[in-house]
Amino acid sequence: MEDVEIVELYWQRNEEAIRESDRKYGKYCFKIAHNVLFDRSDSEECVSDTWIKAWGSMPPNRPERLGAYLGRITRNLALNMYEKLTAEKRGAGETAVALDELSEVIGRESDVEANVDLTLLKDSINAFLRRLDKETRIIFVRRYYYLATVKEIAAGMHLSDSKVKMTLLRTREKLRVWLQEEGYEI
Amino acid sequence: MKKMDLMKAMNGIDEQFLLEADPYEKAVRRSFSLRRNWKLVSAFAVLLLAVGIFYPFYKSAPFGGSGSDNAAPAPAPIAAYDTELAKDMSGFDLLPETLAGGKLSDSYMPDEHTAVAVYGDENGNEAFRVIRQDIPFTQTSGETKDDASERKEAESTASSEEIQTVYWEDNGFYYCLEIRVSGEEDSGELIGEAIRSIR
Repeated sequence: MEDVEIVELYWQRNEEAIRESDRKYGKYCFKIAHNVLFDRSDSEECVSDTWIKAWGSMPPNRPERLGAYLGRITRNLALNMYEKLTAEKRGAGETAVALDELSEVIGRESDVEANVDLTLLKDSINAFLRRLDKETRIIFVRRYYYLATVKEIAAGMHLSDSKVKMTLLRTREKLRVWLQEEGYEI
Repeated sequence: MKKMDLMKAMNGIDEQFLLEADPYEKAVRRSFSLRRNWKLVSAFAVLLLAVGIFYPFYKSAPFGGSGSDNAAPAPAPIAAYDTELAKDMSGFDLLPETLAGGKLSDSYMPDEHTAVAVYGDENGNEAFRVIRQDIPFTQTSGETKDDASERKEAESTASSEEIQTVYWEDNGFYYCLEIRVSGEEDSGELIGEAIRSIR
């Protein structure tokens, strides 16, 4: 079934929308969740929550790319669950490694709760991504959005592991400088 | 700023960048669907049908189908140099149909360097043969002089005929004339006539 037809089912409040979403994007969303959580049952729970969130958000939303839309919901849910699990000392997998890498960008975390406007930060990140060449951008997004491992990225792009690592290192440094220029306290 | 803020902010990455980088789009999301790929499936079915129809014709064609159990036996390599082709390639088409009283009964190329023309008598028995090579007979890749001697000796023994051999070179080619001589028959005249005719 095409995306537009599934979205229409959501708008009609037809529960077939969830079955079709699961059929078409279930594995996709599971992969995204599993990359964050590294746990099968937690990931399945995340995917189930994704359909509930999708049901609650359509309408009013009418996404053109349903896969990207659902994937974004899954990732958000998975990160929230990761935070919760980390607090319970259960967090594992690639997320912890990726977060450690991102700590290079922001330096030492402030003990004081900084009130970061996530909307502005998103805009800054998108502006930064637009400045990158395509290969670097793909590597960066695969690593920090999809949380793919360095090996997965290297294999998928026919690059060496060291090339991917080096690209990520340089891009993180560029992001750090960029965010400083954008006025973030780093 | 917390690193988790940065990680969460990446949820707002533009959709175009997500699609551009999506590593799981093909592997996970796009499971093969007959309904979605009906054009591809149809094209493949047509291709299979076409192969099914034309393959038997291909197998039976003179240029096709080696290796099948049902196919006609593949000709021996020597056949590629046989008869008319041999004539064309070797220049034997310039030889007369009759030569020194013999009639051209066969011509072939046993290898890429050698052409053979066989002349028979009025009874159809081989009278003599002319062998022409584009390399000296000592270098022939087909029958060497030694091989030829052994063959002639064996044939002579079997038929109580003597095979006389004359070698000469002309116009960049190397010739060998083999004549079957029985008893006291004088082959000198025949040899002279043959050589003159070929030249």
